Amino acid sequence: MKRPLSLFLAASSVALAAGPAFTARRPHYGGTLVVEEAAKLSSLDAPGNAAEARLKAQIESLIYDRAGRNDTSTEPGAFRLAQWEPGKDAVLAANEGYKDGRPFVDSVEIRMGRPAGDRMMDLELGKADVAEIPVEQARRAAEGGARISASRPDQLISIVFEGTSATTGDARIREALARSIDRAAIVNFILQKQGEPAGGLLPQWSSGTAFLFSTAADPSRAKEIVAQIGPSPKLRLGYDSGDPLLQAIGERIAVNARAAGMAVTPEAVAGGGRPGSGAWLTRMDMPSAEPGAALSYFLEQLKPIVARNEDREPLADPATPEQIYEREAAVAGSYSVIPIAWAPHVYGVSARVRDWSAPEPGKPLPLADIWLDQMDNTPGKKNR
Amino acid sequence: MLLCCAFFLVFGIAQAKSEPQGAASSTPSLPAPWQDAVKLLTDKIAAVADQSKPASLQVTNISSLSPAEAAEIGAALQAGLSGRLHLVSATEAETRIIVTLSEGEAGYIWVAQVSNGGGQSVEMVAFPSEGNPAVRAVRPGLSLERKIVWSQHEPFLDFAIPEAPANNAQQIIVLETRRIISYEQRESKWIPGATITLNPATALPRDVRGTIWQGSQEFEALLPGEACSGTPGNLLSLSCAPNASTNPEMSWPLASTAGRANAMFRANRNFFDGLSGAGQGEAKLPAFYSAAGMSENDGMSWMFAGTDGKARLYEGTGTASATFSGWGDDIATLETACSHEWDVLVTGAGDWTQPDHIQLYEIRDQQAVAKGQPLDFPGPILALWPSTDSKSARVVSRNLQTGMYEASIITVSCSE
Repeated sequence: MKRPLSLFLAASSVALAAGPAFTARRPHYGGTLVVEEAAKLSSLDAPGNAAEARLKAQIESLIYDRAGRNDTSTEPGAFRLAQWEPGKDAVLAANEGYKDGRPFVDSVEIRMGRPAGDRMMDLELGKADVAEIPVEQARRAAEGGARISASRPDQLISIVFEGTSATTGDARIREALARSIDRAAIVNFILQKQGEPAGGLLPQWSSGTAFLFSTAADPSRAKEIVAQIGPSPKLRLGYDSGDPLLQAIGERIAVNARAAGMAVTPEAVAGGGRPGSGAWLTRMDMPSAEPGAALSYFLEQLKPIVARNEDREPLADPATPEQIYEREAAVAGSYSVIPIAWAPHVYGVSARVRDWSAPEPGKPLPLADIWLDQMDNTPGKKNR
Repeated sequence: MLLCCAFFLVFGIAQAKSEPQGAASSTPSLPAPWQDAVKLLTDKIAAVADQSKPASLQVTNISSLSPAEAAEIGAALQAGLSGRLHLVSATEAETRIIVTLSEGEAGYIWVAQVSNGGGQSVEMVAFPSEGNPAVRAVRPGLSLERKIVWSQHEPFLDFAIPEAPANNAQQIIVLETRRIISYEQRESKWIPGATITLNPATALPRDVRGTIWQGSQEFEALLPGEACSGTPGNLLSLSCAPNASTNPEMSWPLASTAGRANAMFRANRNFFDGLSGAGQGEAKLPAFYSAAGMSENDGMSWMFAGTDGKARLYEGTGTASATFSGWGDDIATLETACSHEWDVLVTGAGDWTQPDHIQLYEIRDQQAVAKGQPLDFPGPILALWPSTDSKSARVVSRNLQTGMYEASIITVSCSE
């Protein structure tokens, strides 16, 4: 039996159900999103290292209406800075009148200076909603039940050779090292299968031509080259002392090199600076998914470092797929840069975060697009 | 990972060299951009391959192309090359041609590695992988049918297909956040026509919604902060007026089998505050995202997808007679010729990063019974609105595979 609509009574308010957790597709408004970061930022004016610069860019992308990395607009963004505790906390409040629409959450709290272990613990305890997780720990975190989200592989881990070194100026030494490295083992065991071996300067998903670059180890050929060189070459391989992933990869490379008859010694360098050793293990973030822009950026970054003058030349803009491939092939073929692996950025995300997607290269965390699902009544779940 | 889907197509059958050149162009089953790419790649291969030597062709697909599509492309490449090169099996070949159908951020990239003795040339063609906004029908389910009528890169809120376009050409009107634009199909191409620029009085909410009401006499387009009205089939007749920014509520139409009802839409959010009109006086309900109305002999019933994630059935009283959980936020009545019951389309739960589906439910005895198979979408459904007569429903969805926003018409087939 169906009765007329006129019997509807006025409802005094919108009462949200206090029942069990539910899912709903259309975004809800409200709540505070808690983001934890490793970097500490004392001021938005003077970022120090790359991690601090990245956090600065993240915050500025929220409080200013900026389209990309080169945009310096100071037009109001999706949030406004409501509270700032240098090196510790930043609270951003939703901008009700933002031109692209008010963010779904009422506020974002960014907690700075949180070590990886603390970030993972806070995610587990429901004290944090979004935090980056070291890629090498992602698998363990997922096995522990954490909600993990990985970007497309957009960090290039590579060895860069400085042109001024007598040792690394010899292309045969660089080639021997390149051929000795077991990239698949590095990806499988150190990166815990989060990523892929790199043979070129761009990932397959971006350029579509990465398959043309071999990533297979060729220890026999490496040994042949080393034998031609004469006395066993000695090489110090610098890496950022604050980067345990690069340390592990450096040590693995040393083992591979030793098997080919080369002596490679990993060398921790404080502050991410370049060592005087001539070979530098580093990781670089793609600034854009677009292959031409990404390759141009890499070439620009490598310009003051790489061995050959030809590898310092800028890429045509715009560049055709052929030009991009040829340039990649030239740099890879000169062994000025030895690509090792592509790694993703991995994030731990709390269960209540909805419409989350890992950011594209060069893009900040999409915090204005995230919304928070209704809190459930699970015991121990912190209800913010 | 794309590479996980690699497979091989090997063409080693010798072809007569006397076949006409440019045979690749005679592959009408391939979309035009693919035919062009095949032609260009065969030209490039032929330019670098030693034509005096027997050659083999191997085609590998590491892109999102289906095996069937890759096979068609491989056959077209073989046809194109067989007129220019002496194709033989790999064991007999002196020139080896490996074509890899790959894909990058900018679209498809087809790469040919041509090995002549000691040297190797790499040739490639690249082109966007997006599909054409062509009309095509999909029949994935037992009872629900989806017809994609439009797709575009930019987000849009709703669309309408004029019932009697002026010159009998197929038309579509698309409501975007900043404009209303009509397209007309001429010689298989969609040509942009009249455009109405929108200037909503308020800042648009992040989850901006909009709707088009196309009646026999009236045409309305509404989005937060602005309302336009005019006559059907004539976009230029639309008169738009901003909604006062001090009033966050707007009256938006809701379709039911009894015709039009009105509900108060919160312009600075994404939900309705309540329902009014429908000829039975004022009524107010808990906030809801969407509604499905059904008129029966003994009155009017409504189902509301509430902002709390639960759908509630109201059979004429102020108290819900049934509650349904696990549904998405968009529902719509669909009146079908094959059922006298109340059928409701319901989207899936999840969020906008996930594929979606629509399930048809029969509402009977305060229970919802699923009918037929769900109709899957390769991305979230962003809007679901019933047609004015409730005979079909309009869906705006995002295809997560292509990134395109798609407009679809949903109907029910009784042929199951």
